[in-house]
Amino acid sequence: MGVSSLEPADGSTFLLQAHDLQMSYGPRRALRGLSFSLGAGRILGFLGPNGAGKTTAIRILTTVLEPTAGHFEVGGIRSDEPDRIRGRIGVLPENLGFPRHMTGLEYLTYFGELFGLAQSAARERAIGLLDDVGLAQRGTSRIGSYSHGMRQRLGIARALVNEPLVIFLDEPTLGLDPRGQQELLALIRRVASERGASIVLCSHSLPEIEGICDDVVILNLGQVVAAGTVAEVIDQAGSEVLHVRVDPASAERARDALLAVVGVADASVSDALTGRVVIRLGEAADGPPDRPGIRDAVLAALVAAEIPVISFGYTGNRLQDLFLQVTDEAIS
Amino acid sequence: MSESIQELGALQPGARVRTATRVRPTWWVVMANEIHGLWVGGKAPILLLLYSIVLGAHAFVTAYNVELSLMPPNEMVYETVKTAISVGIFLGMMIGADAISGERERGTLEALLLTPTRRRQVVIGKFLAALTPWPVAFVLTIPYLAVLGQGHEVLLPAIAWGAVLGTVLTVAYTGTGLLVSLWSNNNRTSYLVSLGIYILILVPSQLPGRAQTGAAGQFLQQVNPLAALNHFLSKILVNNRTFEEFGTWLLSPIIFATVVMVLLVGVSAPRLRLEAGRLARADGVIGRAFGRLGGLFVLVAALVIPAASFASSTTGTVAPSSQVASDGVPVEISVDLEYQTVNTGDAVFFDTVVTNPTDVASAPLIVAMNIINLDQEGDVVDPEDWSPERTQYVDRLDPGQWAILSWRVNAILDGDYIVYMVVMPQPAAADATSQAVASSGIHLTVLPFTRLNPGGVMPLVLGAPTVLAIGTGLILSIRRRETGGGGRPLKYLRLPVVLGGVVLSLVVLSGFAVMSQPPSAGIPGQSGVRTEDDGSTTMTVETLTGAEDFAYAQTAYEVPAGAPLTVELYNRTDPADEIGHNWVLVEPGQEAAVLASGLEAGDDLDWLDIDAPGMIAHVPLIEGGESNAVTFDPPPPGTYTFICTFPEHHAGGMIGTLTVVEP
Repeated sequence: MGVSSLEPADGSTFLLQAHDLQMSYGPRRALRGLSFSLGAGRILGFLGPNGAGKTTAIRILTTVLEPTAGHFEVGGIRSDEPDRIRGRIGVLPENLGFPRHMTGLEYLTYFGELFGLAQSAARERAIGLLDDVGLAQRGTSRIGSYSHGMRQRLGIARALVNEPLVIFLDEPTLGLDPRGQQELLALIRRVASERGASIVLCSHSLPEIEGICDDVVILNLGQVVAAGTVAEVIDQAGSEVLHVRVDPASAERARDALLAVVGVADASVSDALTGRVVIRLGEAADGPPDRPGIRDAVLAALVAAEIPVISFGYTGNRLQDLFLQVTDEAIS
Repeated sequence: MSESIQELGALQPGARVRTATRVRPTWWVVMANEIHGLWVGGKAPILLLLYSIVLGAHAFVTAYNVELSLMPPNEMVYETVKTAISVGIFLGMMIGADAISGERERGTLEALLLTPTRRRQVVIGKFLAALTPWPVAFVLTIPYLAVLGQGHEVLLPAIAWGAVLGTVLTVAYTGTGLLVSLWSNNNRTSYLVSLGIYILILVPSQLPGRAQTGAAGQFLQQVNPLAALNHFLSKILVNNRTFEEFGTWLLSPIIFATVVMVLLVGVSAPRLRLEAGRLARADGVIGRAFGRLGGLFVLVAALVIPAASFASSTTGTVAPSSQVASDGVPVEISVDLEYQTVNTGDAVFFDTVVTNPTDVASAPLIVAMNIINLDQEGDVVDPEDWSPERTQYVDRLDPGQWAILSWRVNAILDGDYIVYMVVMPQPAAADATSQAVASSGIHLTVLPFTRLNPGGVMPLVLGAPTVLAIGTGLILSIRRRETGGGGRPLKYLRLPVVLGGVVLSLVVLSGFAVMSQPPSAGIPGQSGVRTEDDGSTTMTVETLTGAEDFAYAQTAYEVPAGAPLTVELYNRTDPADEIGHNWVLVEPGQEAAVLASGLEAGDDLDWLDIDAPGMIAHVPLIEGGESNAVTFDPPPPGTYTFICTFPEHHAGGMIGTLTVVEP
């Protein structure tokens, strides 16, 4: 799966296009031909197991490393003008360090000036950004006194200091507690919707990607193994699976009722003790199956059979299923 | 949220509008940020605190140690400038060594590289910021120079040359540290390699003079930027030589600085990358090797270089040739000192160069020193007393070859002297002779003994670190209170205010130190003399405290003629040491006679013949802790000498002058 195209739905232009990027460290090939495109205002999830080449790819796309071969464009500027590209991207690198002795306000003002703002303008923007990421109260505190979550928010503010077209976030939620993760993801979503910037989000957390991203690229061993919109990629996992949990006493009855529903290929009790039933939806002969319709029918059948439903839905991670499938395939 | 925005906005005074549209160049932005981090972050003040402790310890040892205190003021000033530069360049190098690799280690470099700034400008900004501790360190040095210089005329040249040359070397060393940092992935490597380079250059520069004689030795010294610079400074500040004569010694420091700057700004800075570069990254093997290079450097520096220098020290004068002239080969001899003014008890150091300008090898050579008293009335000089080593021997010199010999002369007595050297080939046989060749003379003016009271440097030795510690603590605590979070932020502390405060306290401190310097430092004047209500004059004479300090604390007095004079003598030595001192005022030229008669009088008469014809007045011998006084009518206006007649005390420097002036 070499080249894939992520066509923006509304026909707007691509803000980021990568063409066959390759990177070798001596004999080791960290990246073997990465190509993709990203439309304006979209969030792209960048997935892959450890060592897949994610961080290398991000460092190339953010001009920190030079690719061994290939090129890319940001907002129409080619990668052979790295200085101009740096002015148009914002980056939160993985494991970014902060000068502990500076305050958040000083830090953002400094970077505003490095991006060519006058001192006072940089300061104004810093104050605005601190407010945006919810650090207004702590702007004059030393970064050394910040929590990990606050530092990540400060890192995102720093990535926004030049009002970038494309924002790269490398593992932004790593090491945060669940509440911190939720807050940060909400912030990222807000940034995308309010600023219209495209975001490339690197993460290990598949639910996170599934919940927030429009598009996804899965890397393995330096190669793209799956790419497309989140829905497209999930569909590559093959038939859809539903998970239902009913009163354990009625599990057998529920299975029988479900097998009778049109469109259900298979149903089986996966755990009789807790009453879990797995339903695999079949492929319709003509065109894609009417899956929402089948889901409605499944629920209706259970209700009609007067079976108490405890939970119903995609309880498994569908993206995770695919992820494990494609990365396993590549390894074997 | 809008409230907090206002709060933040209020921190910035409205007067900033003037600069609103001006974009500062990148190097300036980086430099300002780095300076802020260095100084307000506390690193530079703490390093300077350590610097002042090192300098204070050096000054204290110099002033207190009995042996070292025989150093003349200009030599103490030179030693202090040398120490200041050695320590100052170390600070710059260490700050430079942290600049890039430290950011790599802390993960802050990537964010910097993600900005559209020119790499070169980032490096220049960091470099300039790393230079800032040096000027402050040097300003900090000036009070020490002032106190140790004891008003010697060398002070101003020392400050000027120290500032200029220290800056040249600081540029070179800071640049070197930064270069190493640019190509290191972590601070451990960077610090180790930098330290290795520092030691590599420092160790040979600290070798004693004899180890650096010979052609190769001198070449090494001239190539080594630190050693060459020290040599230049010592010639200019201690030996009264000129820039024209020794300016070429500055070539290697200047070339060093230039090469480093070209490598840094021209070659390496544009290649600043997130990883240290191909050298360290390309292959694990090379990377590890580079990491170990640091340890290797230290080893090499510690072992090979001193050995090499010692080995090379003989190469200038060995290698006998088969073609040996019998005798009469005219060799040349020169000295590197023309004149010098010192105090009694000081030592004078100089080098002679013996050259064979002919095209045949010389015979083995003998070099001897002679000292002549220019005052025909004065004592005849016994050169054996004045020099620990009067004669030195040199192997035969090949054509064009030369040898350098170091000499020391102890100024035993005050007076006007000339020192000259002769070189003489060994006669070839019992019935042969040879012709001596003499050098030009060294004119030596020996002044009466003065001594720096070590107590004089104490206010500075203790005061400077204290003021710096308080200043550092203040900066850090204000910064902490300001940025501690939660609390209401104080008014912004501006860097210039902090720096201004530091400089101001230094100026006050140095003024205090100079004023607190005891009058014992040989400054003639009215101190120690007071006019009583009845019109009579009282002068207070104190001895120094040490058992071997044969000296009066103040050695020059001025009293009016015509009023009765009371001399109060305090023997400040420890009674346990059983050191007796007296105070004897003698007619001009009668010193020797009074001393001789005192010796004759012997212990029973307390070493003084009270009927000695050349004596004007005296305070009898008293033991440690005692005091006594004498009142007499001062002699007619003129300058008189007072001495202690206890055996050897006069020779040890227990002498002073009393000037009687018209009221």
